[in-house]
Amino acid sequence: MPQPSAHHFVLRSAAFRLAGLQAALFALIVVVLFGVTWGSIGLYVEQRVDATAVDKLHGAIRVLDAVPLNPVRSDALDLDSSQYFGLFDRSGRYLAGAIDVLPGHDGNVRMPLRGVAWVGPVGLHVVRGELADGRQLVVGVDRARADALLGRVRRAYLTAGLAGLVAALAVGFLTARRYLGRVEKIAAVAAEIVNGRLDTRLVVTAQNDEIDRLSVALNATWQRIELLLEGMRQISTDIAHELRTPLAHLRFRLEQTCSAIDPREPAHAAVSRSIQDVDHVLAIFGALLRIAQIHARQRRAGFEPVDMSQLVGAAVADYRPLFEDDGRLLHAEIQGEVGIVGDRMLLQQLLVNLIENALRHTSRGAALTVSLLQTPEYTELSVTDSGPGIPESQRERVLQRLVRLDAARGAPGAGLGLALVKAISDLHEASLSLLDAQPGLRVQIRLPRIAT
Amino acid sequence: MDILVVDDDEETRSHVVAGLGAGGHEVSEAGTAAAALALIGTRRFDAIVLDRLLPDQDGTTLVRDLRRAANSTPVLMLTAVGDINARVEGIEAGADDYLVKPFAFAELRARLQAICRRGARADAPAVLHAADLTLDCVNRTVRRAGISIPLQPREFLLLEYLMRHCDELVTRAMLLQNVWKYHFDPQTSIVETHISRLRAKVDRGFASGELIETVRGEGYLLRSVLGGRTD
Repeated sequence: MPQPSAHHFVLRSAAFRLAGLQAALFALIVVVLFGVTWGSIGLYVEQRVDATAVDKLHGAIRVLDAVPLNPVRSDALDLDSSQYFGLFDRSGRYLAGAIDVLPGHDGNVRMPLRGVAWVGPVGLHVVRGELADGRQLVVGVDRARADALLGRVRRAYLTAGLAGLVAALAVGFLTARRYLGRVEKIAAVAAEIVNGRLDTRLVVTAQNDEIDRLSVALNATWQRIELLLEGMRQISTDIAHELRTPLAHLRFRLEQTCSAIDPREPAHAAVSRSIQDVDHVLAIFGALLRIAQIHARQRRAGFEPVDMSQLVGAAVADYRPLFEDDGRLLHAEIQGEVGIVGDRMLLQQLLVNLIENALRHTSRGAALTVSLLQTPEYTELSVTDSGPGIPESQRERVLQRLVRLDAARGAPGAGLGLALVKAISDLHEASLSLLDAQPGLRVQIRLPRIAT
Repeated sequence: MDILVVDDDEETRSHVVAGLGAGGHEVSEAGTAAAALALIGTRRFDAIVLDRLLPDQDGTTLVRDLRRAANSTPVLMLTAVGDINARVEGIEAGADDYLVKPFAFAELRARLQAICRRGARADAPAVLHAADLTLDCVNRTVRRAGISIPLQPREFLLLEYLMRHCDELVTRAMLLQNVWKYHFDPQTSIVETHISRLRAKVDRGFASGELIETVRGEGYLLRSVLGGRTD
């Protein structure tokens, strides 16, 4: 399954959604501000243009009423290069000026100008007036300058608005990523703890922000969990520890008693059985303490290169007679020259435990397959039997200490075999899975291969 | 034999001392490493039974000091149940063998015998003999009454160990530890099964008699001489 990119997670994060919302709000503010500014500047510019046009019209009317000029010239009417006029007779026929069509209304029009070099209609603000003799005069102010001003205002807003929007989104993205980074660290530490590294904690920064406060709270929670689990583990270890000496004394005394009794006496058999019981208890305590020791061990301490092909091959050869004598089959699929780095003694015990477990929980005629293979990523050891298997719901449970399934109550053992396997597997940072072999149980151990 | 028992636990010590004394050994006892050192300084013991956890010093340190002082007295280290590292550390420090407490007395006796014999036998011959049985460690061949017997690798190692300790009691735990190199106790009858297979090949069908003997509840014994008892 392809992993979604980190950006994908950032874009989906709550922090980024918040930043996106902020950016949208910012954009709305810019639009409103632009509308208000545009409206008031536009109005002001229109008024200014209109006032200029009206002013020029009245001036021109005064000039033409006083002195009937012929032909009429712009400069005589006090018009500059961006102001134009048009003179029409009473019936609206063109007489003079750059404006040769009488506009139907005052205000903005677009029209071509007579005698102006560049072609195309020009945007004008026109006002009309009437001379004393009934001729009609139109003055038009070129809107180019006013339009340029408005255009500049629009461009300024557009540029600033877009830049702001991009900046808001970028800041949002970066903030989200930073937040997400910290959240992901929390998730990573939580995952470590789930994987059994109970002493992992979050780093609390000096910022004392909400994430730091959350980290402190989580650290305290995990501390508590670790203490509780440690306490539980410690109790079983302590009990085993404390009972060791009295049990040893008990065994010594029983043995002395036993040797003092005539073997033909019934008491001899009873004491012998008591010694066996004490040995059984001691074996359970031994296994418990062993598991506790493996848990407490420094990771990878005492690891050495181990020839797994040889180790598995030897164990299979050692146990094959036990299977054969019982009318069972022991198959082996062992890849050659599989080497790993680990604890030879514990790996040997792991395999023997799995094989003996299968021997114990399957019946005559059952078959067991031990396989070892190595890929570039991992080394896989699996033990597959054709026995009754373990129901899916119980698989996690059998890896715990002293757990025995009801179906196995009658079989020998103390329910520590798989717990020990799990402890050894954990020490090697391997993943242990109990799978359904249909029928039967498949115990699969995958050791990651360390890059050298 | 002259044996020193060092253990701060009085119950264990008296059990060991009583058992060894009953077996006709001369036994001295010490409760601390200091007391043990004082005794070792005054006389030469044939073997030392040493608890790893002593009140004043670690047993491994004591062994290391002894070995450094060129004292090669065989040492049998006693370790607590469940203590996996202690075993390896004890051997590394120079102890000859280890035994997990509590132990069956027969186990202690067998191991003491084994480590004391080891000291006496400096050389390890490449060809072993027991009655009409010959084991060649170099060519890895086994012959009995002139007939070559093919053995599985583990059966060969098992026979080699039994022959190196012929006429000595060898316990199941000793076989697991030395032949299988298992530092744990398998729950199944792996030793018994292999012994029975080895017997079928080495002992069955030979007119001269059975070499491998089962000592009920204690272990196995391979006779070097057939017919007459050695003890």
